Amino acid sequence: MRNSFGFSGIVRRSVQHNLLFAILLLCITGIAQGQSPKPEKPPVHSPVTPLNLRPYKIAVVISSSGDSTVSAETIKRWEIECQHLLTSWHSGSWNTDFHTASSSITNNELAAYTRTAPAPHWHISGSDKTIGVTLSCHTGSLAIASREWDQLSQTYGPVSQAECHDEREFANEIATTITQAFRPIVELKLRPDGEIEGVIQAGEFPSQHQTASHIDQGDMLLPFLRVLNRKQELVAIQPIPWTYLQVTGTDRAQVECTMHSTFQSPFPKSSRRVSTWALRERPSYPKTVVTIIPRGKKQTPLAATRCELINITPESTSPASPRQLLTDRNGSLALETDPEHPLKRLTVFSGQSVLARVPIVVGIVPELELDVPDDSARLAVEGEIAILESELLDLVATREIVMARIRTAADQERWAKVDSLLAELDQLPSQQAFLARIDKLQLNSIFAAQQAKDRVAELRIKRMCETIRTSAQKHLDHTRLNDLKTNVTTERQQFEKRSM
Amino acid sequence: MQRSCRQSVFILQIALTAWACIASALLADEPVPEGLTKLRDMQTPTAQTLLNETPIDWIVLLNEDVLRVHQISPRPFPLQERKQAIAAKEVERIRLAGEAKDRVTREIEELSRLIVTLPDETDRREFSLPIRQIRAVIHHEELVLRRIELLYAENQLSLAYELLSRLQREHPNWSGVNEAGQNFLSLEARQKLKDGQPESALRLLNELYERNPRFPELQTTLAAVTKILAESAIANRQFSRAQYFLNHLNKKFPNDPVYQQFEKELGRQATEIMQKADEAAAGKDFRTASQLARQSVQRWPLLNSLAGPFKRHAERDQQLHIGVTELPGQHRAYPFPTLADEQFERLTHVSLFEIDRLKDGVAYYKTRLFDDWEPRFLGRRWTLTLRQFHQPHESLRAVSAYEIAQRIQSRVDPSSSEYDERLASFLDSVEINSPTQLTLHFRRVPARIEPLLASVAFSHLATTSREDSNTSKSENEPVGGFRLVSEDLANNKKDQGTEESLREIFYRRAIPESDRQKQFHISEIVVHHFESPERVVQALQRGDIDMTSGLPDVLLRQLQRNDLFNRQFFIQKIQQPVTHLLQFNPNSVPLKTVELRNALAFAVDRPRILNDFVLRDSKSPNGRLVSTPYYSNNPAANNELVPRQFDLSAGLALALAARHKLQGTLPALTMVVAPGEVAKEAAEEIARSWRQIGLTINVVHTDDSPPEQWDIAYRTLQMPEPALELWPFLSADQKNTIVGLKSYPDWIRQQLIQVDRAGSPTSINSSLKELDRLLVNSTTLIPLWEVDQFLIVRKNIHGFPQNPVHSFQNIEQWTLDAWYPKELPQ
Repeated sequence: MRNSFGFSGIVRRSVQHNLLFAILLLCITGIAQGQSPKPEKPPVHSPVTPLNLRPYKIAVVISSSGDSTVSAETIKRWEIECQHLLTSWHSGSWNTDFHTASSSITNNELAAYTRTAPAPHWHISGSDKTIGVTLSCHTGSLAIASREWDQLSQTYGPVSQAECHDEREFANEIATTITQAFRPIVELKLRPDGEIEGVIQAGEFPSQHQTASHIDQGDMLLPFLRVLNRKQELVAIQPIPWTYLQVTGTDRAQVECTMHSTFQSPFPKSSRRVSTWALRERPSYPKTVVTIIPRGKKQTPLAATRCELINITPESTSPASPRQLLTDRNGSLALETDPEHPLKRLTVFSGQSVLARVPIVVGIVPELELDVPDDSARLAVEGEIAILESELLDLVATREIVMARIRTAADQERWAKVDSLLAELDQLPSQQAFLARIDKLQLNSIFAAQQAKDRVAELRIKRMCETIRTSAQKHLDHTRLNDLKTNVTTERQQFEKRSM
Repeated sequence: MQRSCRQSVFILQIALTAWACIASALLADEPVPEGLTKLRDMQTPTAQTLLNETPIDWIVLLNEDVLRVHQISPRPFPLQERKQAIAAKEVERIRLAGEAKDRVTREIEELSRLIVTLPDETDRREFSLPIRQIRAVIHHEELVLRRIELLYAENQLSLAYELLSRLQREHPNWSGVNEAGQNFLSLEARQKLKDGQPESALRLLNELYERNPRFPELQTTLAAVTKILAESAIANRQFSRAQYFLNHLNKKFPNDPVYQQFEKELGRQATEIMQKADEAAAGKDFRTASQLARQSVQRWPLLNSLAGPFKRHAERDQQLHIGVTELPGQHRAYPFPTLADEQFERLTHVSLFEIDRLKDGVAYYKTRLFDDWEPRFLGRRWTLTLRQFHQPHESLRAVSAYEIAQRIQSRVDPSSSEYDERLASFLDSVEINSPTQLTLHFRRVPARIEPLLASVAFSHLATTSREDSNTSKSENEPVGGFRLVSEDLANNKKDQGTEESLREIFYRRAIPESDRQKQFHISEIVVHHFESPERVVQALQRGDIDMTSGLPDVLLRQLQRNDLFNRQFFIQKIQQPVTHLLQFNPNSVPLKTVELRNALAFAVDRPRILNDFVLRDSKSPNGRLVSTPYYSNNPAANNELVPRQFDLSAGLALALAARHKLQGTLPALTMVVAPGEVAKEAAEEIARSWRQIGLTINVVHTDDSPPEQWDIAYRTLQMPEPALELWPFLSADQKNTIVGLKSYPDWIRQQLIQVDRAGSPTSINSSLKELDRLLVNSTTLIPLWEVDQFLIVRKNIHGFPQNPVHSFQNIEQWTLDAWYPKELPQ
């Protein structure tokens, strides 16, 4: 929520163009204004106009509520002023049409849309983006909320809100929230060297609101794929999960990015039917709640799971110390937005294993779900191994003590005591019995992992069982036991000979 | 050297003189001994001589000379009898002749000689002294008695006592020893009295009375001592103590003037106080009336006129006096809630549900607030209908659905200090249907709703004189139960308290009973704090308190065998035993080493400590070893677990392994111990075993200053609902929070989550058994034993349950018949 009371938002009209740019702008604006809206046409643009010069078609749908002192004429006046402002700010890059909502849009309604919800009823066909604006007038103040629907990605942006108490600034605030709700589009290209570059739509046009409407170094891009059929019709839009592109450099419409992804190659090979796009996203929510869910068990999210959150910083800077976190009873982590370090890496642990390691930009979306493998079988084995290790320690200690007592008793020629201690030694679990327990544990847990088709868990279980087996074989070796018994028997025989 | 030489010469002179004397006596009929000291010139040997040197007897000859000889025998020497025997033999000899006469002559000769040795260490010769030359024999013992009398006269009582005690030990039947002892007691008692030690004087006089009740001035001295003691006790408002001394005097010397004086004075005071009680009752101040009536009978219980008014006042405002050794909130070094904290919390809290009984280890609940609670939508919604009417004896007012919803809301609001993470994870919302009905919407279906809501309670903190002006009237209005009365009301504790108690706290019925009641119930609980369980038992027997619980088993068994005690008290077994266990701090760095934890586990001799320190009798049925932190008869208890057997050598081996793992040093471990004498002794014994395997253990008891960090906790607890209580028990912050389990391994945390998410009692029990196995086998804790608890109630109390779940179950329904001891304390 932003309050404005002064003239800080007054638009400066000192826009400097070069001549060629101005001519081009006028041409494109004229073409755009001359086009009649065709609602059913898919938003596929003419290949003639390159993307970097193609302005956005933006439909602004305004809905008002509140007291009756604001007349329709007043709202219309604000629309006109707002349109003037937007034209001057984004001259050439935006073709803006203002519409009045056929039915009222409320603030709650705007906020209730999830990111990938279907297109809203106030969406205007044929536009690249539809921005819904709600105006609520209460006792002289105006509460404004704007939210963008992007046709290309078919997603909603975050809600941009402001409150203004100065009537002279109302139009300015409306235009500002609309600008803030806007998310630029970038078409991505994967270079042969693995670097990613992109072209910003209408990126060649200058803007008064550079920070709000354009892409700057350090901005985060959320990539998605548009899959087309042979007729170049849209088949599917695939967001690329847990993948973020950080803008490392911009040159007019050109951007260079660094990829942060949980996958090694999140982008498919170039294809005529698949195009790769990205939307610039900035953290706008105070926190993001990440819910960690084991695969196939959505009803039982991973509660009390150990996680680690670390800032992803350039390699030149020293690495930050990680934050240790535990998920709550709902398997969720509430991560707070950090404007200094928006990009972080979240690592999810299960015992000694890493279940997931994903990059995350906190605050872009209010909620996220992170699917991880179901590690319960392997974790149970880890617990059992810990107990077996503890028992092995006990066993080795007890065995050593009994053997030492046997030696002492034999030295003192107390053969009855030696007999009882040897019997005690035989009572202790043998190496075979201990190894049999490990085998049984391994068999059962590997079967469970195989049932769950978790090859990684299976391998880890095998590795853990092998470690404890090696340890048991080493410390519960028969040889020492047999040597001791042989020595004791020999000494006894010598004693009996001496006695005779 | 010179001195010893002179002594030798002197002894030789005496010896020669004595020899000359004896020889002349033997040779002549009328010997004239010379060179000996006359009796009148002899000095009684000093105490040092008598104590340190060879005992010497004095033989007084006919000429009053005194011959000093080694102790003669037999002792005492019967001189007169010997002379009479000689005379008789001489008469007999006259009638005889021949051999018979010779035989008698030889007998006379034998009787007429006393064999003596001189006190010269170098001269061991024996001399024969004619009996007829001896006037008297003054034995060493008589010399000692003489010296004792002299020391009495000089008031050197300690030296006199030294001589006397040796004499009593060696010759207890010597004539005069008993009298000397009596004199000593009398003199010592007077001295003690003079030194301001009347209790010691009384003890000595009691001893004197036992030896000789007719000893001169014994009654006077005893009365003087009693007067001082009684006056001192009355000045300290210890009337029972004063009565004891007066009764003591009266039993020994009936109707002594001192007794009569106090009887009159205390009786007058008692009557006056009872009159004040009547006045207070007339002014409807029943609490004061009851307190004054108790004070009155405490002042002088022998007045028959007090019985009627006392019954009237005591039964109108019934005050239950309880004796404890632990008060709530008094344990500085113990970082967990104590049993006393939990016990008294039940008094002041009105829970939505509370445990009614335990059957086969499973807790069954009841509610005082709801008429009905029904599940709907397969348990996802529960509709609770509130009771609108309560019995007059119930300390409970009508509660609205809004208030209940508000209480629940405070438990699920993360910003509230009472936030319960577990309840919040189950509960989605609360819907108020009407003032008497509400619906709980659950996002997860709990296995049982009652234990979940048992943690939601209305509580009463101490009432202060200044109520917070910001709180509304309804928030201040108590819902029921008892409330802790503030200190300003507790100022008169000495009038209310017992004389041996260290401190008292008062709980008062939050909602008083109506005046129109025919039968009143307990309105106030006075908790007396004693320094030891023995003091509690003493107070019970004296009539100072009416009830107690949690006595050590050895003491309890003594009381169970005491017929007189059983005639006066009910001894009821409480359904919940107390479990003792050792818990390792998950944040302790050294205890993260499994070798060290296992070493500690091996070095605890559980059976021996249970028998020798806890029960003090291997045959006692009131205690048993356990393998779980909850009750052994709970269906979730994994009784198949076999904890590590005691093996000090294995413990030592593992401790060495741990030392090796910790880079050659084993840091000192701090063990905090739960309050209570039994826990204290058992913990000390466990620490002793651990020290034997080379560990350094600092035992921190409850009254010590709190340690910076603890490593091991000796805990005593009751866990009737392990599914709910195990989490906060294990949690470092003692709450139901996830963060509290941060230091535990993931597989233990996930098993706890599994318990938490289990949807049925069967799955809860199987998950708990598995968790128990993990906890015990990974040595996260060492279960020790559980000890049965008993409630001891005087038989004038009625209405308490036959098998109570805890000490204060249904206490608002209890009634108390007026009773006080009608005899003076003995």
